[in-house]
Amino acid sequence: MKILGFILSLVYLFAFHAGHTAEYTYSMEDKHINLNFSIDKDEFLMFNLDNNCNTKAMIAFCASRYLLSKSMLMVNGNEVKFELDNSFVQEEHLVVNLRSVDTIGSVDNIEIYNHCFFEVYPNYRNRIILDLEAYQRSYVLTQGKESIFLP
Amino acid sequence: MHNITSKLKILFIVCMAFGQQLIAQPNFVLIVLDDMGWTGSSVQMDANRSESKSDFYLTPELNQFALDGMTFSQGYAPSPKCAPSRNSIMTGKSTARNNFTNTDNNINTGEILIEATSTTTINSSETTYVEWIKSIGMNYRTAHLGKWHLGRGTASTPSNNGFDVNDGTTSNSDGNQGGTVQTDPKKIFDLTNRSISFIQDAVNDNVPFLIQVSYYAVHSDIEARQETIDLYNNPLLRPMGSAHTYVEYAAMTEDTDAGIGELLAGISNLGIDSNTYVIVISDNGGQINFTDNTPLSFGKTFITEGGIRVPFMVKGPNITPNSRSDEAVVAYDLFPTIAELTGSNNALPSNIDGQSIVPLLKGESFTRQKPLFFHSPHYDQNPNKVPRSAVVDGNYKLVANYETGIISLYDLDSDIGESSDVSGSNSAKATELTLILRDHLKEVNASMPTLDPTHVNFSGSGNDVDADGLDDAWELRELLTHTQGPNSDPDNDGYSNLEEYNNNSDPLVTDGPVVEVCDKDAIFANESSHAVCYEVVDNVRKCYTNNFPNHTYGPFGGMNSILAQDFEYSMCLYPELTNTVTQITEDPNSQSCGGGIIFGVSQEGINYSPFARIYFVNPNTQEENINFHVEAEDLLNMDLNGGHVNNVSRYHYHNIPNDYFNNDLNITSAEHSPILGYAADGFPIYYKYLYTDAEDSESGISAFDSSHAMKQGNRPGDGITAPNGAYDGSYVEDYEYIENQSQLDECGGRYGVTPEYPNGTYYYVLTDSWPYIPRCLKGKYVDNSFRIGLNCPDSTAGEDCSEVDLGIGDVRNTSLNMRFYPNPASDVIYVEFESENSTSLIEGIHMYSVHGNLVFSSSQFIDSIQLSHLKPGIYFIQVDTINGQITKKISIQ
Repeated sequence: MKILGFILSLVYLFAFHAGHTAEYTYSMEDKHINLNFSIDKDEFLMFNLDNNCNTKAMIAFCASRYLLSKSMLMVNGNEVKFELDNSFVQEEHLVVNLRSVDTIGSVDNIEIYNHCFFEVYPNYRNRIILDLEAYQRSYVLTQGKESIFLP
Repeated sequence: MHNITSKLKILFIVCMAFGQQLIAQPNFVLIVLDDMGWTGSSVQMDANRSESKSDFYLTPELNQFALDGMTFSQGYAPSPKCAPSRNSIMTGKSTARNNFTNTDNNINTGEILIEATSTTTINSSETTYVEWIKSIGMNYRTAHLGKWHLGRGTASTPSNNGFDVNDGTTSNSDGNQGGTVQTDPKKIFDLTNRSISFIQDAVNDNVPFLIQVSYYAVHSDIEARQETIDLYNNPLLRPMGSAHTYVEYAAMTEDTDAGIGELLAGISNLGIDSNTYVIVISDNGGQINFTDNTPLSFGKTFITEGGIRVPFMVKGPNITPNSRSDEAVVAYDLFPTIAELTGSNNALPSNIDGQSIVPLLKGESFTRQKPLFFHSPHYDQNPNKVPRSAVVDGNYKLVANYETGIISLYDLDSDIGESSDVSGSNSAKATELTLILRDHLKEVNASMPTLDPTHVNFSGSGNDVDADGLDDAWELRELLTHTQGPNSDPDNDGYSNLEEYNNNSDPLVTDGPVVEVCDKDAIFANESSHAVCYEVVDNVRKCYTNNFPNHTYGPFGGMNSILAQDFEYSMCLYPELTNTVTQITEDPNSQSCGGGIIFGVSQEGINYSPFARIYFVNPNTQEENINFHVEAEDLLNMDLNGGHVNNVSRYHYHNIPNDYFNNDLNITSAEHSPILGYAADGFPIYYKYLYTDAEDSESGISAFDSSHAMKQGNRPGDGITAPNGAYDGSYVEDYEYIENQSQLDECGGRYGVTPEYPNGTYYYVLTDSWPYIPRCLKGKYVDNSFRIGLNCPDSTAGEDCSEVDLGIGDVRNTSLNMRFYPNPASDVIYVEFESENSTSLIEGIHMYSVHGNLVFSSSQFIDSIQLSHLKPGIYFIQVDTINGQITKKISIQ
């Protein structure tokens, strides 16, 4: 299933035909959880989500700030705090990597909440790709169905 | 007594049966008029052109004929002169194939060209349509009455060419009686009466008949009845026309019409209308000394429409009265047409050019197998008449003027007068028809004109009268023009005419990479309009596009609009097949670049990308099931061209660009699809209209569907973890491949010849049935430039792609992948097989020059061939395998 997560992280990255879609891949590394977020750069700029953040000047910062304000990962009932690790643009896509501040022990259950972009495009699709120990799956969150709970 | 009665009864029944069988055979009356132009009667030949009839001549009988049968608006005589046309009617072949293109061999002098020579008598070894009908065992009685004009020798008599009853080897003069006013002008009524007598006898004898009534009229000398002349001298009875004004000629036309009327009445009186086909044609256009063919240009002797477009009407059983056809037909179609109407299955001569028009007569669909050819490499008394050849393909007509060297293309629909050359604006059609005409003339070894070395224009001599370094005969034969010069490269393959001549290669067919230089920066800088360019770099075809369509697009729904992109695709110029099918959905093992594959790119630079990365989602948990792909065509908003834009305004096709194909490219079922792009593996893409027989370009055109069908029944899923419900096309997995459902394979491709690949290729086909755009690839190399995803490597086409062209025989031997390198080579060429095991299949390797001379041979596998002793040029390496021969072209520098 590691492969699945890896594939999906790449497959979904280029939301070539799926309409308005962003991808969020959660994976484990050295007891930290990494969140890899990717979205078409032009689309993200077009959304102009935060008037208080100079997106053109600090796209990674603005993206991570928006992301963290609109989504949440809870592991074993505890919210996982992320911080920006790095970011780059490749193939016209903005890739933002975040890393959990704290280490995580075993993953017994997961809750994910994601409300990103629905305010600008109600039909937006947020793909969640899990590469967390036993959780090797992918999900699509849409407006009204914005959370996942995995016992 | 009882026994005798029974035998008589049986005999009676046998006789009746025999008699019925004979009567069941249709009769044929072919009326051949002499020099009657398209506008030479009061029949409006084209329903949409009021000027397609005479404004003076009155022909009520022909008008009634048109009401009783079918009128062809684009009917042609095979030649602008009488004897070649009549000979073509006899043989069913083009005048070029017959080498019968003129009535004499009086060569004009002082011209730029020396006319071609022509036979002037019918070839007794040819099977005429009359001989054929006599051979089929149906007891036809045949007659030819009137003008023969196909030679006076023993071998060329009508008797020697199938006619039981005939007037002998008559010619024009046999119809003249001396003086304009005659009681039986041009022997019209004598011919008519004798024709009726022949028919009467055949009916009395209960045998089917075929008669060709070849009226001497309306050829000069002008003859007419006084009473008819009187009619035309009375403007109240026959108002003078503006285009037509010649009274005696008009009277002769109406007298001819009266004769035809009596003949038709005679047939009717015998009660055989229901079983008799009557055909009216003319042997060439109107003679411009006597009549005016406007709106057609010029007339008899010219290969312009005025010289060859003629009255062409047919009536008979099952032909809808007062019907019309705008299909281009020619009188050499009559041989196979009459043959089909007899119901006989006997074979026709193998190399006739005509095609049965019976489907048209029945009102059924008709696909012309090959265009109509006209070859008149002669001068005439009229100084405007110069040697020309022409080909008519529907509404397009291409004319090669051998004197000026100009090759012109006309759209007869909009320009029936051939006044506007559109070869510049429609170069693809001009190129296509030039090649078709050239190949026909080469195939039949047509007699061609030559340059006159005594003409002031020329300073050369021998084989190069125009002193351009090219053999004159080669120029006219291969290029259809002598004015292009040695440095031109009409096929744009990087080889000049001189190089093509020296290499003995085809100057009109690409021998190597297409040389084009693209300014990709300019393309990518264009943000608002269509910009695309294809070029070839070594063995790679490159496409630079801003992905902006050059056709109408939208609306798509949603908020998307098109934005220009900077896309650069690479694909193999010489693609190779593999036994492995590459799905475009996902390719997880492809160098960590697994987002899928764009199927291909269109000629106008838009990508064919039918796959949507949307999967079934569990409605309770939102989890995806990636084994079920949502069919995008079923879900997303497509415009009239089967396209839409994605979330970042990139336009792409999920389905057939129908509006573009139909209204911009004018793709129809009448013609083979043009190339519509290239797949990611380099093989060309076509639409569904293909040669019926994949390997026969003359097999007609058929529309092809895919080999996929929707599954029957219900999906096995529970609706929660996997989709349930009836298969309805919502998911890609709702369809299945059914082998041999059509000629197309699981990737929507097949092997075959195409207009662009006359030697054959594998190619993909866009179909109107799912999957519309193929979903997999069969090529060996699918370049990274078509892959989707991060970390996709740069294009490797330059290293991966074959360096040499592969023929159809090669791609079929997929188990034996080989390459020769370097190519072009100088001192040595290496032979390499993908699999070492392949060498065990080799039974010999040979190398030939373009002239077929063996220059190297080995009875076993070798891995290199020394070339240093060979002259530069094109050679062929032939590999004999246990499965057959594989031949590849190489170049030695």
